[in-house]
Amino acid sequence: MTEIVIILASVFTMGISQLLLSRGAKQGITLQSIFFEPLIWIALGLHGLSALLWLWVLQSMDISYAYPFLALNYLLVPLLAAVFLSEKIDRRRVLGIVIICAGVVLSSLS
Amino acid sequence: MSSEVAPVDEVRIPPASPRTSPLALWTLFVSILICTGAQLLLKHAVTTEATFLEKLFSLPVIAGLGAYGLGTILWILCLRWLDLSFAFPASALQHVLIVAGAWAFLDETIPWLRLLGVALVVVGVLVLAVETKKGGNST
Repeated sequence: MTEIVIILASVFTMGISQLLLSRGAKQGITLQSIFFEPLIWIALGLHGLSALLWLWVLQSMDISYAYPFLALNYLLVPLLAAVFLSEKIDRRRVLGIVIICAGVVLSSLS
Repeated sequence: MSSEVAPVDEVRIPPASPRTSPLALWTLFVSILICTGAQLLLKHAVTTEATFLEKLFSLPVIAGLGAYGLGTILWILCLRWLDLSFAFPASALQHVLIVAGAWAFLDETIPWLRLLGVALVVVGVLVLAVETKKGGNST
């Protein structure tokens, strides 16, 4: 149970971090200036936090069992991208995302 | 769509590669590959008998985190070129590679249902990729 909570915390932290990373990566004039983007560093901090939580969970769980929980992220991240980055998600992309989630969840049942 | 000339400071921004750009897609793939290697390395490292702190500073964990860093830099480049709502679901390919790697290198047995799920993930990523080839709705 505790592990599930930690996994969920890791998933949500990762989702926010991806959102900030994407927003940061698309800013800046040159490629190098990306790495002086504050958003990128905040995002990387959250990424690190998420990875630490993940590492903690992996101590006591098989990676091939813990991994399926990341299926939530494949829903959360495109949703965040649609809302906060104004990305257009057409039906084909929704289909791809749903199939991917189904696949990840299915593999978690075994 | 519009034939207007972009403002000067927009022109100076390196044009984001088209979503069909092989460079963007290869960068995405290599990033996924490196992150998969990092995951397997981390899993291998933390299954030893040691305290959490000892594990955190062991060589395989540091190497794994380093690989993670490299993969992340490539990932940031991808995000400059690609939609997050495309790139992130496509990175589910990592899940497929992890299961393959866990089977090959960590001697985990893979139930057939999990194989089926992994096959579905591949299908889903292909659906996304086909969209990319057709051009889709670029932002």
